[in-house]
Amino acid sequence: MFMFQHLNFSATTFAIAILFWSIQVLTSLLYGKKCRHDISAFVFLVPSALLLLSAISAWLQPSIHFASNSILMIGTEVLSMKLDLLSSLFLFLLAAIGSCTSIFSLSYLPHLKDHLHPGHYWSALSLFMLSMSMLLVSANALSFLVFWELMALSSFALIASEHQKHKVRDAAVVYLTATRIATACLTAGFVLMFSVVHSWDFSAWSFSRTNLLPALLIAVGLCIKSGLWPFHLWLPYAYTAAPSPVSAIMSGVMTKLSLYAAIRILVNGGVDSLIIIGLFLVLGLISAFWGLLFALVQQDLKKLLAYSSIENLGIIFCGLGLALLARRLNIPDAACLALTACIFQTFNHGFFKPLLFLCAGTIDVAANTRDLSQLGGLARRLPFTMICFLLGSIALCALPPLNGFASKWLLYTALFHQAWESPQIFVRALCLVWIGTLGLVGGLAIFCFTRAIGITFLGNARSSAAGNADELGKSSRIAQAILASACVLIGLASPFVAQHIQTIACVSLKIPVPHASPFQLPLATVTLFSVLAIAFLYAFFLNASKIRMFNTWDCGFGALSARTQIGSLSFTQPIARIFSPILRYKLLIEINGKDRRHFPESIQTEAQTISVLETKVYLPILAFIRRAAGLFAKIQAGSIHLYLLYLCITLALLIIVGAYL
Amino acid sequence: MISLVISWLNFFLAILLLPPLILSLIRKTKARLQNRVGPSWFQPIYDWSKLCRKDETLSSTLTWIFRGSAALNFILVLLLALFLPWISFKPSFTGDDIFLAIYVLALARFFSLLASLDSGSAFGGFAASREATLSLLVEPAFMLALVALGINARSSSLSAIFSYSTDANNQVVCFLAGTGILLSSLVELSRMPIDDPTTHLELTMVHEAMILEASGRNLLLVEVSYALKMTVLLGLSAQCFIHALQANIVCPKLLLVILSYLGILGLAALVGLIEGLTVKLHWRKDPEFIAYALTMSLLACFISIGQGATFK
Repeated sequence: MFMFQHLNFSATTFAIAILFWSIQVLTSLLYGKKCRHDISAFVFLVPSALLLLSAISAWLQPSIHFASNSILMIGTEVLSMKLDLLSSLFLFLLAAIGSCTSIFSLSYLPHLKDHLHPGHYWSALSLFMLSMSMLLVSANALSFLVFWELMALSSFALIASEHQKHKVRDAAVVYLTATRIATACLTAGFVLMFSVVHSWDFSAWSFSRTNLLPALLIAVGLCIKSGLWPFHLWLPYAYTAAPSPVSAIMSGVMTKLSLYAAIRILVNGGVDSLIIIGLFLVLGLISAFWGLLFALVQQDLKKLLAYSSIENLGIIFCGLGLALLARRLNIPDAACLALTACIFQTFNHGFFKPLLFLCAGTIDVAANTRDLSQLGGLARRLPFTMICFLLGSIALCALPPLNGFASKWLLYTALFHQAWESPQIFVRALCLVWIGTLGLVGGLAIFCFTRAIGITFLGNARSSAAGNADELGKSSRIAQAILASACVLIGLASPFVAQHIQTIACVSLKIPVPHASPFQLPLATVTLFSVLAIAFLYAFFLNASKIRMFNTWDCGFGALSARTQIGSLSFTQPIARIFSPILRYKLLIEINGKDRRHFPESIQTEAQTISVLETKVYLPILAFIRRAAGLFAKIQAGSIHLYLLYLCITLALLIIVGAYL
Repeated sequence: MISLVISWLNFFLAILLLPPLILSLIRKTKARLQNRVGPSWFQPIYDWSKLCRKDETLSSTLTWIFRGSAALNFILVLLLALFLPWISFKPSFTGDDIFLAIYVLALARFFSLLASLDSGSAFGGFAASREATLSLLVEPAFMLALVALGINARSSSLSAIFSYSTDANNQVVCFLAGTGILLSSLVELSRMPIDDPTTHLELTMVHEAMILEASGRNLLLVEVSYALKMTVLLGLSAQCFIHALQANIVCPKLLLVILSYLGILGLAALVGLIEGLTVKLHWRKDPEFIAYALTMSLLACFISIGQGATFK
């Protein structure tokens, strides 16, 4: 199938993995409903493991180019591929998340038996993985677009896998619309770029000051695809509707591919236009803030995670913008730090967000609900999932010593370096504003995730389903454990990982690679000593005294019920009130009864938040499109004579236009 | 060698002595303002030793998070005390990074919020919600104050910041940042204009309601780590002021040691004074108080970035 310039291990394993997936696409379709989840998951695991091997071995070699035979041509272009450090990092992430989700699927998917068509699911998932891995090695724009499109369509099919539900269908359509617009922007950008450079090869593209428009189109397309503000609307819908393993792959890898594309095309192409830098920086910052603010008021656990994904992508794109800005201002060390932070954050988010999504999936199936107001007390029912969720949240809140901290620290340091090294006071002030806002966002993350953990796992169960929840199977726990330990290990080894990612960043920015690791805090040793000290303190000091078990302090009024606990809405009330201009937060209280003041018979409270963007911007646009489409629908009368007339008119118009141009 | 031993001894003396001393100094100041004699100077030590001897009562709703977070918080605050230059004769460790310090504080807060949600009591829940709100609002102020200090010294290591030579410009930055840190510490430590540590009504408390379920040695760990955290934060603020002073006065080492002690005690007395003279702010006014802290930090930032910059 492939003709290698050097027949080597990583290219071979890569090719075999792709072959495996293509076969699985077909066989799953053939088997249809008879396709079994356990067998499919095992089969799926093989190419994922091969890809993992390929990614690791590609890391040890210089970049590999390989081209297909002339059978695989796209137009007049040969399908050329390149496997370098940058793509091997993302391939590693893809393979790791792919394997973990397939292990998780073993015990998760059987619970969705009624809704899910196994043949469709597994063939779409294989196609999804295939297209993403091919996307990562595509060295020219045409094949990139083809696989980008395949990725979008297969993920659409995956989101729609429970299409019997009305909500899922809506979500799938929203997602499809967003991804179409993204592809349209990308295609336009690519075609424009081709008309300037006359090559589809990414390595030949350089964005000088004159071709701003293609770069801008590509940047906007990538922003839409990754779900940055104000294009983030599809994200909460899609992640909530998709089965948890799919949301895990989408959040962990798919949205990251836009960052990969941004680095591959824009950073390598030497973009230094202030408009694009500003776009990334501003949209990134707003997304970071906006995403978490809306995550705070969500009631659905998966929606909460989806909104926090927006925040993380915001931070990632901030890092990207900062790297471009620093390069423009000729401050190489800040640029290197920022891009390292950006890639590292991507990598980290690729581990902890899938972990959280898998945990949410476990909770969803175990407690039969994702609604925070129905959960509670799961710490006793799902102790293992709780530890995994806790670790994922610590990593997500960028708290030391887990992996999220290292990348956040690098981003702060990059901003900090820029704040003293850049001569312009405007840039310095900008960096400080970014540091301050990121600090605020960090506080919001802690608020959001202590709420998620506290309401879900701690206290008493708010519904009987939550009180009787049970862990799924062994395989779901194995998948969670792998991802959680990855978060811990990457965190402890962050100086090492950061140094390797720095190499990628410097190569992409075309600056010399520094020898030292950018992250040199002694996290591992300090963590080791602290954990020992905490264990010692717990075992020999706290446990040494006599303990009496009693109930929670109830002011002497008798046993507390689950309803006297703080609810998920009340917990966010103070912060929602402060940010009510953005959230459009309203607390509606209705008190009824004869003597309402002293003896109310019923009290109802409801908190309301409205997404202004959705109601004031997108819905009117949608309504307009509907109206316009209604007008156009009249043209389609269903008469073949009319259609022939249209054809003639179009032909005539085209001939006239062609004659004049 | 001998000087190293002396500095270690001195450091341990400060770490052991200052936390209880600060607590009783605040109480004494407050009592004197109210024309009371106040509790004995050794009261915190008496309280702590009593707590150490008492049995512990646990709610049956609690999980490992509750007691684990008490131990974790103590160790984290101890780490901060070991790493941060809150007193001028600190034995040196690497890891006194600004952002690390902020995130270690955040980790401690993360777990104490979870611990207060763990019992399933409404008091704990509401307190956690308030604490999270306050700390979220104060985070930028605290961070920017530290960053303003770092920009002049071109380093994110606090030891490097406090050993950076001062000039008149840096003096102002240090002074403003010190004020910013002090004001945000009041919020972080739930002291007076924000939260009344001696209130009796659970519904108005923030910090006290969070630890309502703690008893015995668990409570001891919480109280000791609170006192130590207060010492470290006030110490950081005091170091800023002392550093500002160094631009005018050449300080020998001994004077710096004395100044560091005096600075922390002086700030503790100030906290007591504020507690005696002001009333607790209405919950909705708290963001306005935090805005003062943020303003101080922003001013410090503006001055520090103005140095050697071009206005283009």
